[in-house]
Amino acid sequence: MKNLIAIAGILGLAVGAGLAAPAGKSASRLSSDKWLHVRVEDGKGEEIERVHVNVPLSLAEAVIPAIQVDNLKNGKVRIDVHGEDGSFKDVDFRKILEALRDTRDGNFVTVEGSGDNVRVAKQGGYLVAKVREGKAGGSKVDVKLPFEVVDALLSGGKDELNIAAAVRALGEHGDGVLVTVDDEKSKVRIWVDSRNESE
Amino acid sequence: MGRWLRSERGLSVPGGMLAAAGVAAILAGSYVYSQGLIRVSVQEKRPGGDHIRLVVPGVVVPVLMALVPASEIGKHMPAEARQHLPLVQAAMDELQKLPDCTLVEVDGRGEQVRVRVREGLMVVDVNDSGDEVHVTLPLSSLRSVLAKLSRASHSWRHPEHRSDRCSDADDREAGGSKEAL
Repeated sequence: MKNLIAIAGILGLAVGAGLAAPAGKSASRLSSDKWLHVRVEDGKGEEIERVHVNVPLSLAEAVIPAIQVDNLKNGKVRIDVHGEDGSFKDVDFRKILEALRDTRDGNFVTVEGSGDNVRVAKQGGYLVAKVREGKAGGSKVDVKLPFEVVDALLSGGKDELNIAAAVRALGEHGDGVLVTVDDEKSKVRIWVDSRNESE
Repeated sequence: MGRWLRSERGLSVPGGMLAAAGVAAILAGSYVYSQGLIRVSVQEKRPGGDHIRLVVPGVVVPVLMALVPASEIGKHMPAEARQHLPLVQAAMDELQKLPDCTLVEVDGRGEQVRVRVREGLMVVDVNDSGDEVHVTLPLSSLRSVLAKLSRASHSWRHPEHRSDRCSDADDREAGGSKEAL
């Protein structure tokens, strides 16, 4: 009888060890990372198509430096500022950014025309851009980027955007909505928070 | 005979062997369970369409990969795959750390796609007008495949590069001998 109990005990331990293995694995996973969420709604009524993408910033941070394609290498995008029209070749974005960072909150650029209204401003450590299409039902674009992120974006070479550094900076910053696009046909929302599922 | 089959404490030898075999079977079973199952299900929606189901223990993958020589994999690996391998590996390393989550969800008219991570498994569900596809892959199996591909990629060199290296090495050796002389 004792032997039977011993055998049963060994079998029980073995089953327990086996079942505990996957549970231990999931407990060691990280759950406090920031997540980048993209939500796109295209169309109206029954024709609507929804796309939700949830990417942990740690994943983006690890993957982006490993991408080696045309203009994106080592986490940096090379911008052709001397392109066909060469309109940006004499613009030093880094210097403009430094100047903007040191100024007080307020509007930098306001364009109010018959077509589009554009406003670029600094508000509480954020670079805020608002674009409104003049016509009825026109698109509304709102961009709100923390200055740390913009700073990180421009931390590469002269003609480069440092995407990897921007993602890292985004992870260190608090939650918030980065981009919203709202027009007659589609809605786009890009935001960062600590939840691993979109709303 | 009876004495051989019965130990001093009263447990028979076959009984002990049976218990040991039982423990081994349960340990092996729980290891296979912990590694997860690869499941593939494809169902065609047309009348009389096929329904293909495949269930393979994830633990089989590293065993099968071990049987394929790394040099053969390296020889037949496309250059693009070799180039993007570090990218996929970096992604896989991070995917394994993720809690259960939905990475991509597409919900359109007549088409649903969902890519999720559930308890160490990558789960892909596609449902469109033509087919319904469900794929479940243990991330640990994917990782072992990638590790093998990575080793194969590193160990294999294009014959042209190999001859360059050899000739370089020969040149250096020749130079060194001359200097020594």
